[in-house]
Amino acid sequence: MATDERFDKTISAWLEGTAPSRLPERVLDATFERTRKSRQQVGWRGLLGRIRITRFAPALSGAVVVVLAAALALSYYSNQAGVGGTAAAFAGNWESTDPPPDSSHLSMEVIRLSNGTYSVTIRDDLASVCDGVSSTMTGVAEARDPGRLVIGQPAYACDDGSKPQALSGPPLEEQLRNLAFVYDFQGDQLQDSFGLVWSRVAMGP
Amino acid sequence: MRRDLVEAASRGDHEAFEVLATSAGDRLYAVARLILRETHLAEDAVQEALVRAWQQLPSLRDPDRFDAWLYRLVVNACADQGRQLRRWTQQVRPIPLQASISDDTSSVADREQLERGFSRLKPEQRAVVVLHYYSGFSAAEMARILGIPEGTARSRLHYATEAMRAALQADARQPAVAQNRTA
Repeated sequence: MATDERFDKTISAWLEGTAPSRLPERVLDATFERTRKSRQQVGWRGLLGRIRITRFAPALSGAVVVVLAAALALSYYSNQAGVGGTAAAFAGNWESTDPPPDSSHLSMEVIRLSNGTYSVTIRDDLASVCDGVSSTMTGVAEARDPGRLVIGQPAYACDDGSKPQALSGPPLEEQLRNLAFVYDFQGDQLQDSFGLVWSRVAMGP
Repeated sequence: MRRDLVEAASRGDHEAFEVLATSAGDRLYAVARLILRETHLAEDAVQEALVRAWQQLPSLRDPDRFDAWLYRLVVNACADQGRQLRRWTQQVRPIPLQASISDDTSSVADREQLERGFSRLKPEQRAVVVLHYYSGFSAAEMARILGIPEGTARSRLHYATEAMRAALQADARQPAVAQNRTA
């Protein structure tokens, strides 16, 4: 029997022996032809990166103060008995960031429907389960307990039409079943079943 | 310098991206062809990975992770191409790659057995074999590249290596069995 070290060398030598040396130039040419015609997907992070912060710093800091004040006022208002309450708190636009290595931007829109349920749409700009392309998850949620929103069976789709596949564990549908969001009154945040914290996106003027 | 190029490319600079893609092209192609064992699918995988890299570059938060991210995109593109390959192999038998240079593998029989053992691996197992034994990444590095726990990277590598070892040992046993039968 070959020793581990000898066997490792055998595999390395076999791979090195069969590896091609160069990518044909026509492949790069075809690639660049596509990229020159293709637009980059500029998310909010990309937009921020393009803004000259020094020029916009005073306006930006002013806007942050206004947004924080509005968020505090909204938080206080929604905690008042009989005014808004949890039902109103869930509705709105939320955002979060996937943990590394994805570190992708997640946005969520929660709309309260006339029958008391919620329409939820979650967009991920770089989903591992979709081989790195963006994805959209939709579902109808119910406020089952005070401060807890549950989507019984979300529908998950890759935006390029490919089928999402769980990277590990049970199938994706099972992992997403009864996806819950718990509302934090103090911070005006949501925490989902996977531990992701969602912050409310301030509404524009 | 490289970081500057990545930042420029993420701001939409085509020339910067083309410099980066050209410098990475050969090693990405080698990885793709070793995983897929088929030239045209590997070329397509590299092209898809580079186009995705261009499109999604603004969402890459840390420019220093560009190289690892490229490997991840090419491995994912190989998985996509692999799905096509599985449909394709139902009708056509793939031709094993010929060694481009003389290697240290002990015999043609060994190479054929390695090829056979490797072809039975799942795409994700092939990826860790190539990233570890060809590109020289550790389990921790592969975990970061592939976005999986380090333990998963180790177990995939262990299972894949054992499967290939079993293929070689099966080959070694065959002459002995034949000798016993003729004795």
